[in-house]
Amino acid sequence: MNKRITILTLVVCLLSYSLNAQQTDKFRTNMLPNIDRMDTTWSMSGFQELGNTFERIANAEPEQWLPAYYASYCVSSQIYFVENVNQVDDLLDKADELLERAETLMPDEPEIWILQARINQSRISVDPQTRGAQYGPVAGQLLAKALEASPDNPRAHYLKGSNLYFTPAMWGGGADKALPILETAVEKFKSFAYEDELWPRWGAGGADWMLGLCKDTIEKEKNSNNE
Amino acid sequence: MKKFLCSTLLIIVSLSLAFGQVQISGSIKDTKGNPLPGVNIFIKDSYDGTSSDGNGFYTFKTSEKGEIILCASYVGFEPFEQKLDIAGDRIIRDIVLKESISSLDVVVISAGSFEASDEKKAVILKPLDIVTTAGGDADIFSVLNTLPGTSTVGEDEGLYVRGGAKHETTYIIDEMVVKNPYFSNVPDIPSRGRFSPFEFKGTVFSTGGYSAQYGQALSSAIILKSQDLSPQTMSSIGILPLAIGGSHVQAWDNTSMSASINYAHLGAYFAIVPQNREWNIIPQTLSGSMSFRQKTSETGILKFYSSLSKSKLGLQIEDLDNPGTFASFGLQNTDIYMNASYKEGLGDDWSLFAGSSYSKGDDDIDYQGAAIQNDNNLLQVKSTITRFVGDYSAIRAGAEWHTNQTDNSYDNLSTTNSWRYAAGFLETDIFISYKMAARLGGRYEYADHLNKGNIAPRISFSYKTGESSQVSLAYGHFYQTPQAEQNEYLYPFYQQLPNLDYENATHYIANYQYLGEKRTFRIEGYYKDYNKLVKYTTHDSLLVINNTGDGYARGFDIFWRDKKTFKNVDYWISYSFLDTKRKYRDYPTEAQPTFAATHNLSLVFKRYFAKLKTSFSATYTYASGRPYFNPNNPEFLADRTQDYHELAASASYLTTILGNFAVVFASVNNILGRDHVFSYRYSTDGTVAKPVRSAAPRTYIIGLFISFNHNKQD
Repeated sequence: MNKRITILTLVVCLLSYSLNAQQTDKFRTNMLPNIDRMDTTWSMSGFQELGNTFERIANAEPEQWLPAYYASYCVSSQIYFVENVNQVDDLLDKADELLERAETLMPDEPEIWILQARINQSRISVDPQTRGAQYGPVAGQLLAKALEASPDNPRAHYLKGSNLYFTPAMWGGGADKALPILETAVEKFKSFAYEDELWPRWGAGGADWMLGLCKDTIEKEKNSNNE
Repeated sequence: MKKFLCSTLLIIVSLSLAFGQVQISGSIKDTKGNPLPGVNIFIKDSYDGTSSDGNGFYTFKTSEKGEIILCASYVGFEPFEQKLDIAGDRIIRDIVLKESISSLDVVVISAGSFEASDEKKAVILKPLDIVTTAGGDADIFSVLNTLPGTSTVGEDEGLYVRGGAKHETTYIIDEMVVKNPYFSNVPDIPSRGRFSPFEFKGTVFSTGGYSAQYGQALSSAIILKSQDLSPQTMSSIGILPLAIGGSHVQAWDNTSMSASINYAHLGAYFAIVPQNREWNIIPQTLSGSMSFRQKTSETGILKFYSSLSKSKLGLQIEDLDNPGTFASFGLQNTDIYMNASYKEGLGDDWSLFAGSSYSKGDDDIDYQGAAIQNDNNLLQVKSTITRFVGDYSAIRAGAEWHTNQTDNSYDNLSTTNSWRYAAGFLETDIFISYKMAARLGGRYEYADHLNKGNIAPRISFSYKTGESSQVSLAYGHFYQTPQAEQNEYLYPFYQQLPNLDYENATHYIANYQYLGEKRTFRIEGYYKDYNKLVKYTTHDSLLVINNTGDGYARGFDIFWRDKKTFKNVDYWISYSFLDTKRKYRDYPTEAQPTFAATHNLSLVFKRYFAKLKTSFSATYTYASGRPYFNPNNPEFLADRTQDYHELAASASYLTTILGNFAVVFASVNNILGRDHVFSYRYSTDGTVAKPVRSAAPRTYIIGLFISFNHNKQD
């Protein structure tokens, strides 16, 4: 009789252990491949699918900040593919909502400030003339806050450099100003120490591309000045 | 032992069977039957779900059991939820999503008004449009003259809207009245508005049918909203040959304070640019302002603004009864304006507003040997409570109280008039659907010097006829207490006559507008019926003043703006047709008033040259000749001046000076070099006539503005 009870208990324990492990494993096994996929996604349907997946994970795991963060990133990336500029604000509103959820779960996290800066910068595109003065400084302050807390964060340098590149020279921007910052960004992407493989690592490809574009623009300007 | 092992095996097997999966699939469409790709379809609070494919189909497997909630979410659509019982191994569920209405789709209550603001919803003008319009000299009120509904009156400041005199327009800043929005008036010379366009985040120019929240204006209302908290600390200076000014804004997290000072002296300018007037005291003005903003909560803000200005000028006006001799007109003015307002959201559904304003204007005039003093004071308090109903509807109720006092003296005569005005209003915005909205309001007013009250109903209705088009109708009564017109220095002495009543106007307006992403078209027709206008008659050498005057104004306005057709070019055309006659003041018969032009046309053109970093603007204005009084003509106001053609251009060059953002601004008026004659003045016997020309044959302005940003990040 005692033997039977022992075996039964063992079986029950084994079953419940595997169930539990499945649950925490489930979070990782769902997050990791989708985070990897983000690096190579560049289409509306791609970002929609990923954004939806992360949103589902965020709903199923209400204590985790990362799925809500990634859902926000994917939704805010969809703006590059919209047909009508009026859709941009609606998408960014949703991205804001999702990021707020992440912020409640993980306050004072520089990665969140960086994504907030990205969303603010994106708002300008709807009407650059009027919105530049409104959202530009907000984005700038968020990036400054992030850099103070985390001076090696590559995404902060990347967004700062990319912003400078697109700012007209008369406002203190331009390719030559952006170059050193983008170079720092590319370096930091290679050397930054990540908390965990699930933590944000997007932007390396973007920074490389931006740096290339920046160097090309400087070349062209040099050539046209020499003519 | 065997039995035990079997039962354990059975338990394990049945447990694993419990983890079997069910497939859920279906189509996902909108209410019109269009398939929707990229929709998020999932089981509430579960990992299980998928995105719909390019054909609007979805399919996914779930291991959930029993009753669950199937959800679908998609930006731009209402979220979908439905209870589902997981049974069997296949479930087909087709989903239809309902589009959500964004604020851009909702009909706008628009009859009679133009809005210039930065709000997300579609507006016709942005605040930056005002600053960059040639011929406007960055004066908000001048630029409104390029919108339909206004008559161009070159010899005077003010807005003459749809056949209305300039005092028929009320100016509102943050819900509070501004009694003296322009610098002091000099005969036949238009003066500027006192405010910089950068101080405002939004402007509503109502050419008729304005809301029950405002009163005391027969024709129109200019409703300005000042900027909220400044996002950053900065200073700026402006240098022109005729003025120099500086301002500083200090910004904290929830507070901002600003101060500005300006000094204008036209001496150097007059030495270079020829003028049509004989100035003996060069116009000079010293003015300063201060403002304070405090964010009191997530939804509340407290604002305070105050300004003080002192100016003086003097010029020679030819005495036509003794040609060759001049009488001097000298003016010294002190102006004070204060405006405090508090707006707070109470919960999700309520909003409270309370405000107070104080306007004081003292004019010390010495004209044709007479010493004239005109001092006016207005103290106003107002409060409004708003209840929001649903997403867009609202009910508003409010009350305001004014105390007015004017002290006037003309040589040895002096008089003081003081009176109080109270008003209450109730208004509701009803959005019957996102396509149809109505605004119903009523206003009750009482003025104790007239000892009479009035009730003014105001109704407007708007209906969306298409995705970007709508039609609107408006009807309303508008009352105004009688007041002195331009240069009526003796009017205050008659103001206390007991039998005076409110002047009133009834407006009927209908409009159609199309607001596309890059093109706007608007046509509006109106009829205004004026009654009880102040009339002067002489009976047995006695001047009798009563309300027996009346009149009408009717016409239509057309507005077209296009930012798409020509690359980098933004232009707008506004045309107004006005047919108006009135019999009021000293008019012996009904006639078209001197400030009304039958045809008014403005063409505003703007282009930004990126390579030159310069923004260029040109404005062409045409107005048909206006009536003027000729004592030699037996028919009253039958003479017309020549037609008015004006071409003005301006350019703004954006650059940096020592790393600070700077704008170099240049403008020229009257490029065509026309001799503008706005009217004629006659000697008392009618034998001598002198044309009233613009203050200068041509105006040149060049200026430099530098903005110093204190948040140097790199």
